Amino acid sequence: MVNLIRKDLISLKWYFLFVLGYGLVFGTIATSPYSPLLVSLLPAIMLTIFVANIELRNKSMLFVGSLPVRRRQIVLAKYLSVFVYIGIGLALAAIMYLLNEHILDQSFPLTGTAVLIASSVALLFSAIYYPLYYILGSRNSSIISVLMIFLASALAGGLNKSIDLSEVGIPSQAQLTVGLPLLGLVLFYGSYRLSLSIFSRKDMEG
Amino acid sequence: MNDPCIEVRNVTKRYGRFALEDITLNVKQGYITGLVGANGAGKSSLIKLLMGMSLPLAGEVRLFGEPLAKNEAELKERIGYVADDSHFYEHLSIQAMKSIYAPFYRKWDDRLFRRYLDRFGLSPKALIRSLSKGMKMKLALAFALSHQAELLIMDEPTAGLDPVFRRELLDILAELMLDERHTILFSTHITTDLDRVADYIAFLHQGRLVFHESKEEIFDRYAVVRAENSLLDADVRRSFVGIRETPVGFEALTSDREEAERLFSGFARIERATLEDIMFFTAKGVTVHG
Repeated sequence: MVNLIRKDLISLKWYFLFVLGYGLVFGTIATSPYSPLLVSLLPAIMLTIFVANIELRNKSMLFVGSLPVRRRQIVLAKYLSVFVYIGIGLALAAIMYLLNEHILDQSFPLTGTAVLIASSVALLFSAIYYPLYYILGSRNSSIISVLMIFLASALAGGLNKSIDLSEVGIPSQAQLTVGLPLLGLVLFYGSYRLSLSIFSRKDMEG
Repeated sequence: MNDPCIEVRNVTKRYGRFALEDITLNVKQGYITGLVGANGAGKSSLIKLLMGMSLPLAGEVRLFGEPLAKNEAELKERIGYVADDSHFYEHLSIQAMKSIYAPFYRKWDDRLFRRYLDRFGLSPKALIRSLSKGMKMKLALAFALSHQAELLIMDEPTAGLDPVFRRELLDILAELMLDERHTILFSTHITTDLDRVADYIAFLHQGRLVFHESKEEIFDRYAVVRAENSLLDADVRRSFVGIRETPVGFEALTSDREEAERLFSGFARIERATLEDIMFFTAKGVTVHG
């Protein structure tokens, strides 16, 4: 399990620099009130998509299929690695916070709410992404890419609105703090069960 | 020693219009078995079933006496697999790829891996995308041989390789077989490779297993008959696996050498059939070729 997650992290290699560059640009130069949320959230989404694309491009599902692992472990590792990507996003946001607040002397309002929203949305994104990834497979990777661009755009648009909590009609901070992560986790778990069910009955494609 | 290392029991798998139908095959431990057949015969499909990458519609695959479906991870630990194409991460170096691959295997032997890299002239710093097809095949082989696998499964390992490395690869396989615990199954459509090293031949044709026998049995049983066309009547035609007719005579494959010698002795030349002859005539059947 750990080896499968490690595999994905090693395969990302230079992509981490891209994520770091993104964090620096949107965390220190092109800043906005939404920067803390976007810097926390988008690395997780980007890394999820990058890993899948690397796998599809190299047809490495057949390599993974030859390794001494169970199908359940392959799917579970994909889902658990999302928490690693969320951690990377949050760490990046924390670095940007320190950089802004203590060196650049500018505001970077990284709040608990932003962290919760970012984590929950990243979970929701993966909950939608992975079943599609397993249903469509490598032969339809271009369809997945188009769908994901559409989904990411929809998310970005939605985020711009939802940042003002009064506009989305969320009645209280407490409900947001508990409800959103809970919803994210429930859907994430349901998505895992769905992906596992799909992948357990599917041939691995190159 | 003669226990089956691979047992394929009545396996059926369908892909659109192509199907592997009711395949039953026992690959004996301690031998090299060549899986031969024309392109599209189902060799890669069968290998994917053996590796658990494809799931059978019916039937069962057992490795080392245990069902693959129930013990996939444990059984694959004992298999070295070489695919027909590189599925490694192309943007990584060999060293980085090794750091991904090695931790999956408890018996990974880093010294052995380095020895194979040296032997194959591969630098650990080389990017995988910079390697030629032959070099990638060598790398796949180095990975497959470095975790003390008991069973080596290779899908068309010699396809696209230059004759020098093809010969070297076959020598490596022969070296491996000095340790009698090893079993090798490899698919190919280059039949001369099998002539050189295989103990058993499994022949797939259009998704069906035509035969799985020792090389000696096959060469004892099959023969090519060459004679004048006047010898061909309906009964004679029916006795052949396949016939090729030309204006000056015919050549045909028989699967019963003794019977052919009894019938045609003195009228025809009866020669040992090569694996290529067997593949060709079986694929063509009893049809007339110009």
